[in-house]
Amino acid sequence: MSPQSPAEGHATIRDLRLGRKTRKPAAKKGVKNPLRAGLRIERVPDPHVVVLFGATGDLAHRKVVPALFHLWVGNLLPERFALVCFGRRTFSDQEIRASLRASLDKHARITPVDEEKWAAFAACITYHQGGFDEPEAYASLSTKLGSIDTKSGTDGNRLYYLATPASSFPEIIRGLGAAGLDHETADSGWRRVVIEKPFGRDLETAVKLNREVGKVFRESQVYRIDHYLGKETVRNILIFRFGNLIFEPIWHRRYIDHVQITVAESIGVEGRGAFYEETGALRDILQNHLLQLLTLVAMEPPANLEAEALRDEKVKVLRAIRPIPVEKVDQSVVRGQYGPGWVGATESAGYRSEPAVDPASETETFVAARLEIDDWRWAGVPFYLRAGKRLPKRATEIAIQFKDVPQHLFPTVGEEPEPNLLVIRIQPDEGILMRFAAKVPGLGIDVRPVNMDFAYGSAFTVESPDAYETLILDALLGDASLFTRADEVEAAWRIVDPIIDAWIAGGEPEMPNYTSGTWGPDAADELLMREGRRWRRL
Amino acid sequence: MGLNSILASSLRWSSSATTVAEADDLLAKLWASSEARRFLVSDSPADSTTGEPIAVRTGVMNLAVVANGAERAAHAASILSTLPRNPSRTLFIVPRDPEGPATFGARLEVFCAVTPRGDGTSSCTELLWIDVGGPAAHHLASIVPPLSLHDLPTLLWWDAPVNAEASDVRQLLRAVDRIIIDGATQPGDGLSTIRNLAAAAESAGVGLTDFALLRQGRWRDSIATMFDEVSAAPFLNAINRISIDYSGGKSSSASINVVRPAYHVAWLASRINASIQRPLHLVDGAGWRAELHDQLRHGIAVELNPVESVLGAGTTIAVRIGADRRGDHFDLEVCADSTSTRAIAKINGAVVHERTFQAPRWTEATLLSESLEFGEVDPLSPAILRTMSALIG
Repeated sequence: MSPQSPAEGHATIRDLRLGRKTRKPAAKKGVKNPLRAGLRIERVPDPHVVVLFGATGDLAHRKVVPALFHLWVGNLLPERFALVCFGRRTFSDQEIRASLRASLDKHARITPVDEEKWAAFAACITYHQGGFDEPEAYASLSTKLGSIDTKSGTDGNRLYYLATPASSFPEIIRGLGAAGLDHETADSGWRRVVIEKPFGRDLETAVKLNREVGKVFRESQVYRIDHYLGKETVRNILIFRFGNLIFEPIWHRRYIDHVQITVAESIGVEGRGAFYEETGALRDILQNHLLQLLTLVAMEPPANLEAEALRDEKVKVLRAIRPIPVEKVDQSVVRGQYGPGWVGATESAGYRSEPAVDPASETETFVAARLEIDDWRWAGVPFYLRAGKRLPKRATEIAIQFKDVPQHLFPTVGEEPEPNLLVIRIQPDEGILMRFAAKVPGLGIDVRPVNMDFAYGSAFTVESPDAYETLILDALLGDASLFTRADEVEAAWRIVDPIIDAWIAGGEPEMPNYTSGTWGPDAADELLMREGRRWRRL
Repeated sequence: MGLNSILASSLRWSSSATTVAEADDLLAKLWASSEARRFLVSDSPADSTTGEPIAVRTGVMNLAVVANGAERAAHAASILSTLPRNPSRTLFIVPRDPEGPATFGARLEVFCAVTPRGDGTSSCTELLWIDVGGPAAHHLASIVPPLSLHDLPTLLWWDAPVNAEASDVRQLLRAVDRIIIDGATQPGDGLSTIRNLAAAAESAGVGLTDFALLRQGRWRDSIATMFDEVSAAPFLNAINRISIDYSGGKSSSASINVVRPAYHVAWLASRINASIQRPLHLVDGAGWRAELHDQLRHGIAVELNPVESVLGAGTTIAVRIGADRRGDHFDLEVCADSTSTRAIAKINGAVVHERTFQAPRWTEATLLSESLEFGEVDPLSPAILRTMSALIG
């Protein structure tokens, strides 16, 4: 065997070493660039085109385009950039620009909008009219993208952003595949697709959708977005847990009594009745946002911060969540629907009176669940999750309730001693609160709980970017850490599926069962009270 | 909290003091007394649970601004007012009349804004306007520490020419966590000021942030990105020429401040672990020269060339990097205008990569914002400053 062919037969180290010298050197992409060290911005994405499907829709106007515009204003997009708005309606380039500009007044993070910057950004926007199921629309899109590459030098790099109803995902993916718009070759540049939630309606449809996507795009090209993961405080959970020594040793069943995760909204369905009728709080919030927050709280330290290592640990948590048997769903899950009431000194209608909502609707606008994680760290520690609309205030937080001290040495002010509490506030006023006992000033030794409060707004000199800005930039840079992997989505649906099955199999629910402006149905309180606990008052 | 948030933030309390102790005492009493703190929240909505809105001081940092006159202090305040958030306590110190009698006068102000938490909590920052005269103006180290909030980093923005060899500056460096200066506005070529200050800061264990270095961030981003390219990356280890064109104003002069072009070289050298063989030296009529060695002891020729330009003297006009590897010659040229940078990489004369980056020239507000954002730790400067000192010689 010659040293030049070490792969044949059993090559020795020497064979391999000598053979290596004659090989073509491996591509250097991914080699650490020492000039990057210490630079504030990791890097500006490659020149590219964003193709925005559903560009005339609510999500595009409220979130995606404002996020892209802010990235542009922050010089985080390359100069060779183009935004192609793909939609069914007939628009000229001028009309779509005017429409997006009008939306910026309402939804831009930084106002007033810088007109000079907008003019430059708007010049990069074009409209492409077509139905999602029309092959010719994709063929003409392909031609258009080719001409943009030639004219604007976008190098064939493309991000397809699916800001459409979930029912359109399969046909768009198929359309892109049929037109060859997914192909990545050595010369073509990268092709990535961002898919908005909900990713499926249950496990079966999620698996099916994953298959559809997988027929066209490789998993590494797919970015399933859950905007909660782009929020500063959510990203800080990892830093908080794994960048500090003092918390991880007590992040354990030995010290933690239970965990509460709340996503409360004071608004109703806000004109999205048709969407909400098909979705409900379980699919809209619990299956994704709440379970994602739970995984970040409960996961083991990842081997490194690469996307796969992070997502592996999250999937392990989801797989360790004990499934709720269909026949026991009533004991662990509570659903509710808001009736008329008052929120923030404003009278509000009940859910069934909302536009595009069935007057006899059984869709839940509130869900609370008790989950357990069967692993060595968390066995026996309940995780209480709740999400709802038309609750008294908007608040998202994770509360870690620690166990009580083994012996009460000191008299307390109030009825019962309060164990330590750690609250990670996600919105509004992002921050972290720690509650501990302190002596009441005076001659006695009375003890009262006090708060040690960290607020992002008062500790840093910069404002947090919007979650969509963070995530879109990550997708453009090819960093999938904060996006959901296919097996993660399926594992989450495995937890939610029995709940859906039980509700379908059960009798007609009593709805509405909570008044707008209250903290959900009484049964949600009972879920904790029967275990001697209560929801935190927010 | 931003002082610029005019709708949300307002002056809630003010007072004056004629001694450091009095100023400290007034502010300490303000925060210790619930009675006094009511003034700070007088127009806040009541807390929904306790009925008692509270005011808290932010926990960001102390900033001491040493300004060359009241106008500069007002200018510094106006820059700070444009930032999204401010230090918890800012001392605007204006030293005056060094030959006169020792004087001290301070105007104290507290600005507050209601937080979005919804419970009426107000978040407050403090501004202290300090006039100090006579010998006291040479003992700023006796003013800044007692008026700094405990357990918060203290940053010193020296918004004036700085003499690092003065004992007051050296003492003050021992009392702060970081000093911020603008190397591009220092007298002469600016190089010896940077070298002396870097040495003083290092011996005091204090960070040094130079606006002149931060200002070039856009150049660094562009250069680094070009070496991300697969075909360019191998040449990073084969650099043999670094050439910087800078504005010599309308006519070349040896006394032009060359801190900015020199920083390009210091940054590159520190990142590729190059050592200084011969420090920067003036060559008659042809700018500055230096010689470096890369890790394999291959020579790197350094040139700083003044060119006629309408831009401010010392402003970088172009950065050129040359490299030879296995018979191939690589050239990178980066230029910039007020809104963008443009980089062109060539191998053997053929363009292989060409990119334009949206990167506007940084304003003083951006520079200050970046400096404050670093907090106690500036990740960029230490290695570059060490190389810069060696480069200056």
